[in-house]
Amino acid sequence: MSIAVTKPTTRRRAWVEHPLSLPINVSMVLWILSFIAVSLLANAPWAVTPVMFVWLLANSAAIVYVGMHLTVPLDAPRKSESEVVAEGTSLFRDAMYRLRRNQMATGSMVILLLLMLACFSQFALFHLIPVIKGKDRAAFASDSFYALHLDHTRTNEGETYEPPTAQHWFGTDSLGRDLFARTLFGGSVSFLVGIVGTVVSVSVGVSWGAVAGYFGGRVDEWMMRIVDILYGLPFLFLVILIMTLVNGLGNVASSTDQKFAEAAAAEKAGDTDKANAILSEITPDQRTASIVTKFMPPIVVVFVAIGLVSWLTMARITRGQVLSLKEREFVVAARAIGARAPRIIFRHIVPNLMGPVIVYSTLTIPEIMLSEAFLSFVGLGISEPNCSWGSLASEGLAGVNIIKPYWWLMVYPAAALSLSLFGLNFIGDGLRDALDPRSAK
Amino acid sequence: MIRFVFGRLISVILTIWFVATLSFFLIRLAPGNPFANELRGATPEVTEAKKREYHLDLPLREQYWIWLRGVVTGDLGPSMKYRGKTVNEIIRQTFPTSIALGSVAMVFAVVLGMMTGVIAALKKNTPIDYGLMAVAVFGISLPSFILATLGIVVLVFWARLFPLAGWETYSNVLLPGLALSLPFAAKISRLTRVGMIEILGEDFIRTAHAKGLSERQIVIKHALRGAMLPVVSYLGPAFALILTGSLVIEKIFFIPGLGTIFVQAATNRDYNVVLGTVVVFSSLLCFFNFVVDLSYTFLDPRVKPVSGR
Repeated sequence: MSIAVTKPTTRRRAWVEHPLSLPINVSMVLWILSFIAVSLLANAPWAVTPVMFVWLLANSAAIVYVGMHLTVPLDAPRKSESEVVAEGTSLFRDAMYRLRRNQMATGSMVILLLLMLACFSQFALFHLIPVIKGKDRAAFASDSFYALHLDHTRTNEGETYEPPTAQHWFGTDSLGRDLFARTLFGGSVSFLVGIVGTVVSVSVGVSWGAVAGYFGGRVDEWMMRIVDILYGLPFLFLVILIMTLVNGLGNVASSTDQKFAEAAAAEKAGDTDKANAILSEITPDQRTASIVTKFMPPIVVVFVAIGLVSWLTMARITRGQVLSLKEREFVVAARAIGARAPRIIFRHIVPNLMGPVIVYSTLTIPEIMLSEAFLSFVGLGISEPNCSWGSLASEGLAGVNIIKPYWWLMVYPAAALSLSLFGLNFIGDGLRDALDPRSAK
Repeated sequence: MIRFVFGRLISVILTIWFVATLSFFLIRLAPGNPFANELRGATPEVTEAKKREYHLDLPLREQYWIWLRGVVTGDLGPSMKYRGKTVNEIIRQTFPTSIALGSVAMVFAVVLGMMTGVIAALKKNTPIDYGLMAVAVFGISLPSFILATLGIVVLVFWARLFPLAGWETYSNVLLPGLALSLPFAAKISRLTRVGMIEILGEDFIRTAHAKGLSERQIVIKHALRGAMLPVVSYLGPAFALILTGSLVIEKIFFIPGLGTIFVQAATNRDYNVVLGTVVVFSSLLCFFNFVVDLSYTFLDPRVKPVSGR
């Protein structure tokens, strides 16, 4: 008795292997999010329902289509292995392949890009449209798209605390400002803080760690000792103190600037005595404050202060890598030709650190966004009329109560913040797994 | 060992001094003074008298020496905002609250994190593992104020399991402690999982299996000890983050802790209270890190206590 063995000629792919699976997954997530947002609208326009329905239908059709086309023929066996010169894969290409296979990471990337695009285009359009149309911000009609969905500073007196409606998609706040525009604007601030803070933290951390690791010995011991000590400090307390300093300076500076403006106005009107009187009232301290804040507006200090706090992990990782890199042949060779330490560190060692540095910077961005949200939540970060997701959530929390819950004030900024933090964390984890497959399993 | 302890103690004192000095000059540089609201419209004489009462009329350097001498002798000075109260009294009243909240959060974080981490490592690459690690990503990326709000809405408003806010009963501490601990539990859980997986692949675990020890004994007696090392070294930074994180949680749950006092004092320029809080918090942290370092030498026999490093 013999058993006939038929060789399989087809193969069933996994869902993630199909090229259409990623767009479908992303579109499904976006559908769910918009479904939640739309179903929360108090007076949704009738057109929304068919649009959502068609979107869902298209999605389901695509899922069915992909499901039917998962089976593909196996690649025809090659005539001879020796004929085909195997294409070499670089470490980078390998990593990119693994990253593409990670749907969580790629999907997060797409959603995050969309989110950033929305936030930054609000930021750009808010400033650009008045310039293009040659109109003042206040001159736009109150039912124009600009006034309704883009202008986050416009206050509407009769429309305070409105729940989400077809006019105000995310509702309005205590001053009747459109929460949709404010959420987008807060997003651009949060992303900026995250990115700039990360750049600061990466530059400091990599330089510190590279120098410590390269020189080794006593230098290393002391530099890492400092890192150890800083690790255990209540660092945000110092940031809070810095922020009180900066906010105080900012207040003084704005009142001084006002005085300067008054004096200039008086001067223009020909009233020199009055102008001099106002100018003589300004103390040297106030002048200094005004100049200091010109060069360092509070928002920049937020970036830098938070960035300076979060370089410690980066320094440790860099040091560990440098310790092993500096024994490698190419470094010895560079030293043999007479290259000096700075050149070896920044031309030879740092470029080889890029993998771990990229991974930890992606993981630092959400951390810094969290710290910023934390500071703004306590009331020391971004100050009015600017806002960030943290300060919006903080305002929103005041509206969470049993009697009359203004839930939308909390829900939308918090959801946007959480969504982008998830996204960034998934991307960071995906990158780590891709670049260093050993650490994953 | 004695050298190690002494070296550490000296660096602890230097650290506290450094932080205190930095904070002193930072808060003094900030414009405004504690009496700005109180003495609005008062005559210059009154203002001067008030300043003299708190030595604010002296040059900054002398004020610094007076304050430092006070700190060394354990006197943090009078509060400038709360009339007739010393900073020591304020701290004595609010510090226990903060410590209770912080330690509850710490215990939650360690217990939850280690348990889930070990389970995930033992069930490596199964749905249980993936599920736990997905939850951990959520825990790491969600800010604690969002977690706390979710907790309030779900557990207090809907389920009515916990009292809303305040600080009277034991159940008051549970929800804030949980909200504060979750991000750290998630982080500890990941660390434990990675450490555990690494240890379980080591030779001495195979030997233990070969000896016929039960799975339970291997995990608890042999593997966990090694897997705890990264967790223990994370505890120091985690404690610092929990203490700062309590600022937000105290604000949300209206807990009368030291964090609330600190933020208020910083905005009011109540110099002595700010500095007192900073000194207390950094001493606590340094002490905690010191204990962590000591315990490290007990857990890992390879780590030799050397002064300095």
